[in-house]
Amino acid sequence: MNGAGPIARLIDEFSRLPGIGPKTAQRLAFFVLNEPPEMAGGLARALLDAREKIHRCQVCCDLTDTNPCNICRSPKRHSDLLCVVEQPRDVVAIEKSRGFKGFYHVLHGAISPMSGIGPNDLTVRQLMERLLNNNFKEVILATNPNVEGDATALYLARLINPSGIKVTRLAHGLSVGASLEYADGITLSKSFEGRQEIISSRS
Amino acid sequence: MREYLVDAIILKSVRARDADRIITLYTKQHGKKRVMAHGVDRAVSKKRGSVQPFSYSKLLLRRGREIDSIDQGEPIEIFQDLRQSLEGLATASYLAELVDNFTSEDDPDPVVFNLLLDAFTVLKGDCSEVLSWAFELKLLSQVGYCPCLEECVFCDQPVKGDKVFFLPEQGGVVCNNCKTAEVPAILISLGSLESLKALMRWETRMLHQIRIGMSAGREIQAMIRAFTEYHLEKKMKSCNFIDLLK
Repeated sequence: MNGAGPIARLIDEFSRLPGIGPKTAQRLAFFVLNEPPEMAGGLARALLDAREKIHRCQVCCDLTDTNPCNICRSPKRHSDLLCVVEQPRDVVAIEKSRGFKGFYHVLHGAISPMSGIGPNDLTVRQLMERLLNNNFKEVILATNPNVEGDATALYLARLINPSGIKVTRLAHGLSVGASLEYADGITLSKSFEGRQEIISSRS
Repeated sequence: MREYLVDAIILKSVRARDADRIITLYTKQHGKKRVMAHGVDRAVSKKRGSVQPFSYSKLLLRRGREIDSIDQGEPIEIFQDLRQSLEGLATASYLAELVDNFTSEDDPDPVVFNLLLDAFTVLKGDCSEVLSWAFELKLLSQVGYCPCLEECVFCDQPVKGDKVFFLPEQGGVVCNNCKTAEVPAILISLGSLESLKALMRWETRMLHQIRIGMSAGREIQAMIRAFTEYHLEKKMKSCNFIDLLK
């Protein structure tokens, strides 16, 4: 096979994608070549379309093809609740759960001192401007329960607290269907911290 | 034996492919190690709790061709206090970055291990600065860069007067007579110098008793940072965030 030809170039391009090694890239390239030409055309158009039309929503910073995005335009959403997430994929995960009906703000990362990522690398300034210009009553910090997520939540709470807006964070602890015997120490101690009172409906 | 047991402090966790992570450990038995934690980002992973940064865990590692991997893990101490404050987390990041930068792989040093373990044990938000300075001085001394604070590095005479100068390149203080204008130096008061000596001498668990004023604190900070950056030949990444919190 010619190392600099179109096939090699296609394999090279596929292998630049995350999680795709040289073997998988080769398999994908030959799959595309064995399919009818319309399939390759459709794939190329979809890639270009997505790259050209998708941008950050000017309100919530989520990825969208409309500005503002569908969620920010919706009148059915609770206008006093704001959920702050690290990545656009977190919005998708929360939307799938159907448990939250407020608005979102996407930070596009988390504070990581050891990697040199600070608040200025995230959309913190936009978040603060948004809180100033709207009447949110509660900000829910839905950052990941790890060191970076903890640092981000603590930093945002420090910024938002003086404004008097209620700041909450998602509960930590045992996942649904989990077994106590297999839970690790950190998860168990967080579960004890976040325990809730049970009130029987008959009493 | 393909498997071996280590007592490890987790320094860093970096996302690799899929749900895997590359974890940097400082172990009591083998010093610094980079290992792979397979599937640790999955919700069902049993290892996840034991590989959280800034926790102390017992890990069963499996030897690999290129990189060892974590087979099983059990957290011993998660240092809850340092996780509850922003200063605690920022300082823990700084200490972990220091150990990562100043140690090499498979070179065990029980003094460095205990120094880090003691620091994480007492680390809380309120005394984090003093703890961080003391840790930095002790770590630098242990890895071979002990600053000379008693005598002038040029004339070997005890330093006198209200002010002395610290020369990062010479690794110590210099008296007023020996100081030349050409060499970059950091001015420190005699009080700050005494505080520096106390920071190097005092045990980690006693450090909360040391009170250092703001101006002395600024001098100590400037001296230690210049000394570290001189030997590291770069700026520490965590510094920016720590400065932002002040």
